[in-house]
Amino acid sequence: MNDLEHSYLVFRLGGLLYGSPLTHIRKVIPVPSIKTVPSRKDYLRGVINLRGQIISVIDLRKKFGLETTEDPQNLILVVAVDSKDIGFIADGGDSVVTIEDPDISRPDLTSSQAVKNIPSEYFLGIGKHQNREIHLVNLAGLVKSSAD
Amino acid sequence: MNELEREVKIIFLNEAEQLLEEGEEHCLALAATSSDKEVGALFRVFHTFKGSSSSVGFLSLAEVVGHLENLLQNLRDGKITFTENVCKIFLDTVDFLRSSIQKLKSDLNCNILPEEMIARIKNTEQEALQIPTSKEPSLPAEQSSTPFFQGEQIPEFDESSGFREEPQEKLIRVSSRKLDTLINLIGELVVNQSILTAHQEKPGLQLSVRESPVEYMIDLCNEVYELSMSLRMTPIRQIFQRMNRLVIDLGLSEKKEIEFICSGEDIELDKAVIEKLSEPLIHLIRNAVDHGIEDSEQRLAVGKSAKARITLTAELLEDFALIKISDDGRGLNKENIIKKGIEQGLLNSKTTIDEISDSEAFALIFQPGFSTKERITEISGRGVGMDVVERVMNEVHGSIEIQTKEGVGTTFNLKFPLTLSVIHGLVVTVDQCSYVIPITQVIETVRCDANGRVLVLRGESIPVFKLGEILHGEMDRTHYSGTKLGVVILFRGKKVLFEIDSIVSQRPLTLKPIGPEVQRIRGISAGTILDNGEPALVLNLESLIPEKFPTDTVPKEAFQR
Repeated sequence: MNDLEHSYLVFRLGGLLYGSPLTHIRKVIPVPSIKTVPSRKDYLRGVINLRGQIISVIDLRKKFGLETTEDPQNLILVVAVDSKDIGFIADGGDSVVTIEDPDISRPDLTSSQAVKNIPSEYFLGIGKHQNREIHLVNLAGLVKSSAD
Repeated sequence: MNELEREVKIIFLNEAEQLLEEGEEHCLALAATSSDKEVGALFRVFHTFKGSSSSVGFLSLAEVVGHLENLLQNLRDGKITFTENVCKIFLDTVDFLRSSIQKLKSDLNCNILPEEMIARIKNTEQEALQIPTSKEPSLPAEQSSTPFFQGEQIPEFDESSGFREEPQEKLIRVSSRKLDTLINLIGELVVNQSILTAHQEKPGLQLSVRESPVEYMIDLCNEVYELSMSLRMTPIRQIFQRMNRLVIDLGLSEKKEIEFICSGEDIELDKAVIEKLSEPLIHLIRNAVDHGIEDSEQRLAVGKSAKARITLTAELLEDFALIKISDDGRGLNKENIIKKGIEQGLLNSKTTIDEISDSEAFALIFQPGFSTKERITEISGRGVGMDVVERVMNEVHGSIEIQTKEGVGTTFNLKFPLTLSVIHGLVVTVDQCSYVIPITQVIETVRCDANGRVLVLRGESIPVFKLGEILHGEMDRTHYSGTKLGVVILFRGKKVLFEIDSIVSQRPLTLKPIGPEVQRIRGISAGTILDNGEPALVLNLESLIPEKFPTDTVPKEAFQR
């Protein structure tokens, strides 16, 4: 657990497991009331007030193009992108795990629903941990790539 | 270069800019007063500059300033007089040093070539003394006995490298008095917080302070807030001085005699506002010199004094600052502007002078690409500039107004908030969402019971934009049955109205940065946090007006679907 570099925060999303490098996550907060913004992008859920700062909130399920399930959306992962925080809504937290590089594979996932909307440079691979498959994603890169 | 060396160099570069500003100020004062006091002050400034630059190893800068000191010595000894040329060489040297400092800021190891500048200083000195000097034969500059005219060329830096500003931490000068007060206040806050904690643990605790700790806390918080806002405030003097310099330079190059008068230099504004303002002021002054002010023959012919006058004033009006730039030049010619507007396709070709109000016609000069002067001059007239003025005023949530009288002159009134971090906003709701509209943009709010796309207000037909439809698109709006309100703004000299559901309040709000995802949404300029702790977005209504919004046709036709 002391091996920060190989630690990942695992979270649930649309019935699947995803993971983000722990060092990218600034904090994890329960979902407060979200103020919608007049954007055409459906994954941009709105903004929240996080200790006096206005943070954009991205719906990861929509961003990843996952099927909408009835699961409640419980968590916001706060990630620093270019010195500005941004929030990602996940269904729930799972655990913090250590996955060494040899346990991360990059299978051909072109037909996979789970990562179809993730640009390949920000998909870090599939990590194996206690027989579970975790989709490892660089969340910070994800919003940079959508800069259109 | 070790870390310490690096550090002292960076400290020097930041101080040097301040020194150069002081140097420039004294030089301009000297030009105006010819007082010995200013010569002494210049001496002190450049001496400090020389000393500190050589102590941190920027020897070529020190060398240049050394030569300037020689010139100053002669000036002080009365061997030369402070002519226009001497003034120019001082200002040019300041420019040279300034750009060198910019260059060094992006690359501490870059090579500064002082020879040409030194040759120019020496030439000017020789000219002024009218006898050849051969005081320092050992200096390398002596070898290149550059003829005077060649020396006219300022060693210019490659734009791409010379002025590129590396992303570096911005420094701000804060008076130590303000800082001490802030630290004291925070100390009090901490004490009060421990009183509050003790109070919470022992209910009924008798306190020896006069106020209740909660009231005390409220007062302290307000004081800390106000003081912390004032830390960013700096006098506008600096920028006025730059404009003074600009007028002198432009007057010389355009061969126009101009008197520059300014007042209100002590007014304090947010540093961020001051930084933003310099660009529009430069454009307005250039325009005044180039387009506004006539040649001296023309001036004399119409009975004006040959010497023109440009005034720059700043004043505080409650929560806003007002900067006025006036010239006593030829004023704007409505007919010419309309003619040009038609040529540029900005106006309908059949537009006549009576159809268009003065403010609409004058607003045309802020359109990109608009320029009435036939001759494209070096300093302005390329049709860029005025649109920049409008853009910047929008960015700072300010407004601009023109007063002009043909043959008498033109005044531009720039009105803007004192700081970029607080705005006075109108909190409104549209489709049950709250938004904030900066009050500076709003002319008036009216009851808006028009169903159509035009509202007739006091005989004037005003196009109506439905804010809900623009922001949220088509949706079921039957739930809202109350009377709609309208916010009237001025867009390119013409009134337009945005329909909203209600106005919640009008109050000062602290602006907060928003992420790029939200910033990219059309019409959104910033964010803020309301009383209830909810975030709200600040709108820039102008940017919600469609690109093709007609400025030349009667709005009635254009807005029927």
